[in-house]
Amino acid sequence: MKSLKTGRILSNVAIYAILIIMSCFWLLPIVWIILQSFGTGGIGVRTKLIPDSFTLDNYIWLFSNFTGVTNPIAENHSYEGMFFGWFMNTLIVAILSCLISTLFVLGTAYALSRFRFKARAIFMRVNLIIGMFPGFLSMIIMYWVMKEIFHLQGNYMSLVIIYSAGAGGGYYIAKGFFDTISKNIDEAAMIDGASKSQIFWQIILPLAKPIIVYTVLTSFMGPWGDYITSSYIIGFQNASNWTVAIGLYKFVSDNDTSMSYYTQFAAGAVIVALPITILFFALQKYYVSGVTGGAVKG
Amino acid sequence: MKTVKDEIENSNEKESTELNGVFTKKVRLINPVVYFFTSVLNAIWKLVKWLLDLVLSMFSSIFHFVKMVGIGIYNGVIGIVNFFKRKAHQYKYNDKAGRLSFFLFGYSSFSHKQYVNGVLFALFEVLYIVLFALFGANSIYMLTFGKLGLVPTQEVCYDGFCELRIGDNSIMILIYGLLWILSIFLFIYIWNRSINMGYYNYRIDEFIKFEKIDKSNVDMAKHLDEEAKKAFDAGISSKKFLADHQKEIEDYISKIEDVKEKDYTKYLLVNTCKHSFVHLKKVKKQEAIIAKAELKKEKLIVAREKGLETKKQQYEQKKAAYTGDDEEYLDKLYVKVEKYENSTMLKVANCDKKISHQKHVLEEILKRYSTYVEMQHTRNNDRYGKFNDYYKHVADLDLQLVFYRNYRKFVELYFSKLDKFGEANEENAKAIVKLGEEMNEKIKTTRENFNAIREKKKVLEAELTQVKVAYKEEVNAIKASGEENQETRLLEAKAKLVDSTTAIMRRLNDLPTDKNINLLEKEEIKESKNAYVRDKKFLKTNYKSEEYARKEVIDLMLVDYHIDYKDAVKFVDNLFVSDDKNKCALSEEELQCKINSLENEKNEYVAKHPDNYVGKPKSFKESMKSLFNDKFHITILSLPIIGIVFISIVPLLFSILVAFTNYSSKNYPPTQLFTWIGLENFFSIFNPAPDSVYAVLPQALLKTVRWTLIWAIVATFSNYILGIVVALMINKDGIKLKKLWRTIFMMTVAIPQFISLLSIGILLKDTGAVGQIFHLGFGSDSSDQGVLIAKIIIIIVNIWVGIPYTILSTTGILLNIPKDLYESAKVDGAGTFTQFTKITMPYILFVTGPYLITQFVGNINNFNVIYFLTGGGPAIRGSGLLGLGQTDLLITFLYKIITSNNADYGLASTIGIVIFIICSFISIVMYNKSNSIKEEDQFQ
Repeated sequence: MKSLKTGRILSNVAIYAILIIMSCFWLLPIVWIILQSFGTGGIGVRTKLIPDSFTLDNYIWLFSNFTGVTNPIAENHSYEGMFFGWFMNTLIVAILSCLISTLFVLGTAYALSRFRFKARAIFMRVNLIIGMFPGFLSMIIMYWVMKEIFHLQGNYMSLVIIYSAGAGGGYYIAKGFFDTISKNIDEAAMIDGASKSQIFWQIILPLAKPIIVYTVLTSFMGPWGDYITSSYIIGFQNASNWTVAIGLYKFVSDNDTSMSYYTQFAAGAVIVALPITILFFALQKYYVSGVTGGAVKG
Repeated sequence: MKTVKDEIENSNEKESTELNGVFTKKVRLINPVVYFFTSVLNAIWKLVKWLLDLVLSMFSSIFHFVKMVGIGIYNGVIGIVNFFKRKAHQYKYNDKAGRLSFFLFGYSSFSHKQYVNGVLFALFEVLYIVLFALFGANSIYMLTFGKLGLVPTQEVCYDGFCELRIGDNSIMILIYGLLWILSIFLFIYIWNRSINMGYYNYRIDEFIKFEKIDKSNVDMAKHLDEEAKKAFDAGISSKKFLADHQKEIEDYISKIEDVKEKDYTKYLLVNTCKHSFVHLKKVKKQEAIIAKAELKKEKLIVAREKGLETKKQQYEQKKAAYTGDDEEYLDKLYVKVEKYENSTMLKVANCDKKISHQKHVLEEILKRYSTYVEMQHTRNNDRYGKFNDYYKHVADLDLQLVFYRNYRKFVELYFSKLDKFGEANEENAKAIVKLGEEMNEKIKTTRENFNAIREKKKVLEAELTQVKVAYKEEVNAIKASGEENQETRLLEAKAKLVDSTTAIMRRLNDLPTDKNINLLEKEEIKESKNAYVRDKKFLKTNYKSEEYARKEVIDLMLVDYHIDYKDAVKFVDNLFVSDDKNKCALSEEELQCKINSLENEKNEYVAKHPDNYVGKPKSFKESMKSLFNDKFHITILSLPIIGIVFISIVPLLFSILVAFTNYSSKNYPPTQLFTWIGLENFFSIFNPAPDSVYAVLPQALLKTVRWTLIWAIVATFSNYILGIVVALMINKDGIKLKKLWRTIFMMTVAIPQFISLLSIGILLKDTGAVGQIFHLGFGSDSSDQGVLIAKIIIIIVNIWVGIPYTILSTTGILLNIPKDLYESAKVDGAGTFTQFTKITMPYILFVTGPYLITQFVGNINNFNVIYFLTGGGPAIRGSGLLGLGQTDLLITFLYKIITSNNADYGLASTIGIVIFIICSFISIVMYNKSNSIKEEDQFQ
């Protein structure tokens, strides 16, 4: 009996030890980046684990004297003060595309969950097949469409269209949720004389709060942290149109270390990550329920 | 309660340790080396079996895939043929307006006074044709015969004066051509709508006529039906029957004058004959089945009697032969006879069941039968009767008549009940009190019931502890006695204990758990309380005089005159002529006048519509309204589907088209044009031009595909298994601060990947802090060792990013695994590891199988991790300007081909198609596999 109890304590201690070590690994890069954001260095410094001295200069550098320079590289100018513009661009893109995609996803999910029509099965099957095609090949055509048909080349508004227009295809989790809402509720409302659109707006949506929050959260986080699409569509010519992802990537990606802004990158990263992290942890409950439902439903 | 439970648990643990002791002793009898090898062999065998299974399912998936594609093509062809057949039918059986709307969209709508619909249709047609003539035809011509553009944009100079002449743009020709081809489908869709509109208009117009013809032909149809029955009994086929009765039918039809009516009548009668023959065949088949079953039953009974006799004889013989005096033996002998009797009885009963079922089926067939004419009639009514307002209107008038004819009764009742509200209130108050008492009683009984269950449980638990104590005493006694066969006796005692404990445990498990008992009790009490509240709502105690009178009148209408609640409320509101304050009933004259006018109205209406039909097809306004009701899905899906078509489907088709062109950075519009080159790109994957930058492609591609597959497998499973392990650790009993651990791991989900991965990349690269310390050469050292290190680091970082998702999605499932499984495993002596491999993993795999597949495909297309960490490096030797790297996945490989200075979009699209085929194939194989797992139903 004694050995069993000591065994249990030992195993618990071991688990605590493993968890603590893992937590260190999980937090290390994050702590490092926060430390770096307060570090001195400026352009071209070689990164250290802990900076020599601490300062707020990096944050000030990001937001100070917006110069209106459109092409810092060509004009031999630093990225100083351009960050605020990128931040606002990203915010606008993320909010707009989040709103549109949430509406699309919820609408599609509701229609597929509650209506039985001829094209339903075909739509679902085709959507499944499309999902397997490497998505960014379509950027070749989207680049031209945005340039020649919509005349939005290099404009971040084109990103809103690209992020949100196809969002309806990601209906799976929301549909799984709507399927769990009892159909008796619909029928009761129909007897009271409600039309289907009223049922959707006034009955189903208020009941679907968790999935709405989940959809809003994921469709906001997508554009917020996207690099590949935005870099291809916006391009590197006009720096005032960039999103934060392009800008921050540019800070550190140039092979010439004299042009790299490591500490400024860290400061920018903190500013980008902070709001989304707070939002995420505030709404974590809903996110978990969405992911879990999705995992079970497949 | 808790203490008792703890005690039980403690004793359980003791038992299990002792149990383990016994079992290990037993196991040691087998040679441990042999045991080890057998278990290893077993594991290998399982692995081989699994692999074989996988290969087999891959082949079956290929077969399945080909079959599905074949069926799809077949269905498509049949669908197109059927579509045109239907259109031909609709053209043949149509009026002039309907036929014209095949060519002039919306003509039929105009002729039925639906101008908005008509205008929209016509506008579409005119606009489409004009636009197609102006742009579309040229676009499609350029796409096919124009070789994607002939004149590039170039500078043209006359006498030193230069201007930029804008030429063709191959890309735009491709895009516009594609869109115009898609627009043809739109045109066909609208054309179809227009035709359907015309056809339906025609059918609705003809509805009355059809109905009349259907009705007038019922007698003839029934006559033919009876004849068919006789003919069928005489063994005549349907074709012969038709030939025999051709003259009769023709005679009948010749009396009809209208040509259309003739056609339709002939169609109805011929189909009646065919239909009744089909029905009779069905009946005969069913009857044959019943007859067969009855024959079988008879045979069975005969056999049974014979068998019983022989058995009895055998019994008698044995009895006579037996000389001992053991009565149990004789009983045993007789039991055999009884058993035989019972089992054969059961067989006969089963036969009876089958026969009665088949008879029921026959009855259903007979019941459902009606002649083809009748069926057509109901079908017509279902389809087009809903537009008929006639019956609705007549019913409405009738209802009003009922109200006014009984008007006096309602008024009298109203006045008589005006002062009775006090009594009603009292009565209701009493009823409420009674309801409350009933509720209390119900709650009491439920409490008693659940307490009884609890008592029972306690008794059982006490029994369990008793048995265990007894066992311990016995063990002690045996040990004290020090006999020779101690071990065997100990084992016997153990077996006895296991027997009795399992029996008790089974009874215990049949009862709900403590938690469930409390929950159920609470729920039942809540339910009865809710019922009380619900019923109480209908018993008002604060009636005012008018309110009460109103209610009584409405009740009377509902019960005695079958008027709907909504209508009843309306009638009560109109009971009196509203005269500011005084309420006046209608006078006798006024009432008579009202009744007369209503009767007149009804008679006029009926006389006006001798066809019993009023109605017309849906107008534009109505169809718009239905877009927010029963066709709401069209409204809500239209924008997302347009989005998906333009963002997903058009680009996909475009990519497929580009794969057959030589679109590259050398042929980059608008200054350069590209053109169709057929399958060249597919060949150049394997055999590129030796002097180009793509010379290294086949070798690099092979490397990349290999690494992609390894990566996908390793990344998926490492994330999955480690995630489950971490989730188990966090959720283990006795681990505190669960929320904190979860939050820490969740950080990597919350922070955008381009930030977390970029910063880790910086840390690990040669210029970064960690890279400098360990000299990893991450992403730059192109020796074999350097590449290996880079790959390992990528996988570890991917674990860092990916584990939290697994923790998130499996935590809920882990908490839902039934605890009994673990407890019974513990009793069987399974360790933590065995529990993990035998219970936890299969359970989670079962639930999250599909999730694993999506993860796998997601990892094949995992762009972020590779791109932000190494950017694909270290470079493959000879890839030069393309910058292809050793750690590139297919997806980053593609990205590099697209974004490099030597971009070849045609080649990239070709590789994209290859990725697509791989992904879809893997998905299909895995889905098949996971389905087969599901079918096994391991966890019911």
